[in-house]
Amino acid sequence: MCSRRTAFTRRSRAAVVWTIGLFLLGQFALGLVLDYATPLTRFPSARAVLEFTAKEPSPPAVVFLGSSRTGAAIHPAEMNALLATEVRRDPAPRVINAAAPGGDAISAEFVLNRLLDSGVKPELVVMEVWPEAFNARSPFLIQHVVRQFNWEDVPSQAVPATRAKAGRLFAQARLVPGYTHRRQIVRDVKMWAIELLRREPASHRPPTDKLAAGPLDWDDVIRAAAPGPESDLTELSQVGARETVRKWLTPYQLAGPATEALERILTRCRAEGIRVLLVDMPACSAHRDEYTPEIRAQFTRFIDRLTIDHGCRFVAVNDWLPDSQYIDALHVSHEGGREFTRRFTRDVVVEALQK
Amino acid sequence: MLFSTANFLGFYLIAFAVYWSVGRHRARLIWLMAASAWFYMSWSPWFLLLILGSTSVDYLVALRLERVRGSSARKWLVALSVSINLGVLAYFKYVAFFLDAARGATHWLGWDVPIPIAKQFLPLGLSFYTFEAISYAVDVYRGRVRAVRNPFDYAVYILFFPHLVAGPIVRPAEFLPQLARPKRFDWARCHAGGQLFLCGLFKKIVLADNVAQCIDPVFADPGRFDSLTLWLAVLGYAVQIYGDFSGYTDMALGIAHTFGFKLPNNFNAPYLAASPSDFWRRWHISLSRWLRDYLYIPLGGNRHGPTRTTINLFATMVLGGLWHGANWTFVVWGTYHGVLLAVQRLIPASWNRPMLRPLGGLLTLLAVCVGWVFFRAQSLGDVGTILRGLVIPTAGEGLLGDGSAVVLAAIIATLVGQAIGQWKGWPRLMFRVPAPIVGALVALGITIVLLLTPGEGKTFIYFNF
Repeated sequence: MCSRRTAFTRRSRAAVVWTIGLFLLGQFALGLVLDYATPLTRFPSARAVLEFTAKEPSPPAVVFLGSSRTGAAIHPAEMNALLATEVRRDPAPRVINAAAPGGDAISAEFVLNRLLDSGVKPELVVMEVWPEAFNARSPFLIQHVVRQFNWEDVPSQAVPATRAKAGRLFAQARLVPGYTHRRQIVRDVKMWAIELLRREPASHRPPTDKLAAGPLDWDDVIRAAAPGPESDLTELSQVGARETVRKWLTPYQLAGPATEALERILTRCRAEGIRVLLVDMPACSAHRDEYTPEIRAQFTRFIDRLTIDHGCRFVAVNDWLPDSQYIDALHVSHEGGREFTRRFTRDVVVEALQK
Repeated sequence: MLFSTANFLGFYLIAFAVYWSVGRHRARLIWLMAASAWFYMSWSPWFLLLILGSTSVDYLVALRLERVRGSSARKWLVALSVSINLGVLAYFKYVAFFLDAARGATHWLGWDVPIPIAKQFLPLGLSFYTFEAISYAVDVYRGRVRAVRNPFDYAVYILFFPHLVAGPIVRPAEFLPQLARPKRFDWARCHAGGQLFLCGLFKKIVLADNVAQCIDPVFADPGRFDSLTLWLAVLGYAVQIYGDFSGYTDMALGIAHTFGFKLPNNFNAPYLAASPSDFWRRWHISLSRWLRDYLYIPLGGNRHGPTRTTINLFATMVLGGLWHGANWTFVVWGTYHGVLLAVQRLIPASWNRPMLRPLGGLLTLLAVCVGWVFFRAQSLGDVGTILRGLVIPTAGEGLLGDGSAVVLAAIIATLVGQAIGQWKGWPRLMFRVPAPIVGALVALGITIVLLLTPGEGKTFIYFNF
């Protein structure tokens, strides 16, 4: 009886140890698969952009990169129609809006590298730049921790991520990727099962991000997020500027991984013969008022250096729209986006494509 | 702190590590009491004062009961304990309900009586620990258990965190002797506790929470949906409440195991019950036993003829329904089950044949699922809408996306899981399977639970009671 109990105890201890070991090993293996074999599972909005671009009959002439602010401000269909009449070319130049929710130069580099590696080479890259995105304590690191950072990023990004209050999520994403990316994994498994049963590729993999990202989805997102007609948009934008923008800018030090990512984007584009336009997308007055003279000075010095070192151009358009064309402190309304797209196309893109 | 959260995992690991690091049994119990108090205070620090205040009355009453000899004085003491406990329960749980009912009645009668509006504020776990405190005082009065001398032991009995907020309702005779026995760390108990916890996590997160996401819109606005969808929602809710409550119980039992304590089982494949009375021997077993021993039997039980037995059953079920919540839907639900039990008593014994048992089981399952409509619906009006839709074919919307598939899969998984769980050969089989394979299966189970966790976790249903 005693030896049987001892055997049972030994066996139970072994089972517990095997459970913990195999679970951690399984999560590590799953993480490697997500990092290297199916990296787009973690970044479904990027996958939607790449799949959409792959289906286009010809490579886009212009690629827009940035955050949801770019997503809201640029209406590709509107721009394509204008370019078809303003730029005499066959085929007419086309654009894609490759912005990502919570995107900055780091996510832009991820998307652009994959586009270029797949053979899609645009004439012009329009890159959103704004002071928040280049703060050392970037509010967007939390997105990259989930979407892009791998084990090799741990030494360089662990400390910045922790400073940006994304340290816990970073650890969770590395140690239990099965939990962190569960929705994307389940969706991918469902799509593969459907492909297997139907014996044909899935026609479109809908992105699982709430701010779903394909060039065609921003419109629906902005319409859905817009406040009701009775809302005071000015007050909304002022509240948003105080609560969100100010938080993102305090404290402010222009440094960090996003600045390095932008440098790499510019270097690669120059090497590939792709022109780059740096653009600060429309911002309401309450948002612009949050930029103190010190912040403006740091940002201006940074941009000036980039334009000199990399031969790119900076276009200041953040005051092109009145406050009534915003749905919150950061995003333009549907009508605001149309208005901005029309003006930006005529005043900037056409000129850039005709050079 | 829900059992299914990362915060609880952190709390548990610290509580577990310190508990087994401490060498002395007394010190362990004090640490367990402190950890349990911390756990309860994570919801609100004031709750701790209430629980200590109300249950300390029972501790003192029990000590006095052992010294007092006269039967009249002993009766007064136990009546005092029960009154205070029920008074606290009534105040926090039912005052708003009864005032609303009184207001409705006076309004209906056309009387202009100013009745105040009370806001309901229910301390977590009140219904559970109140019943435990009552059973302690009554069992000491009946001589079934000795009064606890050490107040820390009594505090551990009441505050022990695995069962504190949603049961099972633990009898003093089941738990107090375990406090006296020094514990030794046992890998087998840890392993068994971990597997039980994982089983509960699967039921709660994979079954209950995923089904809830699909069917909540149906109960929010039942008039929009077609009959098939209403049936799916009703059956889905049966799965949800089972997965939620029995999942919580499994987690509680599993955690208790890892600390060296055994809590009573609360569920025994309730949807395989052959009759309404069999259902109540399998569902929320600790509550059924409590109601039987402290309400039904003192009322007379079945000792005074069939009519009185039926009345006692009825009263027990109505009050049992009311225990679940201060809403007419719960009263109706309890009454409904009272009717089922009364109807069962009318069925001749000759009908109880093996051939008819599957039919009895199916009818019981159907009756229980229909009963859940009263339990879940937000108002009696919604109950009517749902029941009408179940009986009269109605056109309308279906569940969104793959909701129907999710609910169907959960129903099948629940019934199959309950059937498999009845097999007595599991422990022997698990002992024969090599440890690496057991480890791999459990690791796979944890991975599946993590993958199928819905975006937003739901709180446990029985926390509301």
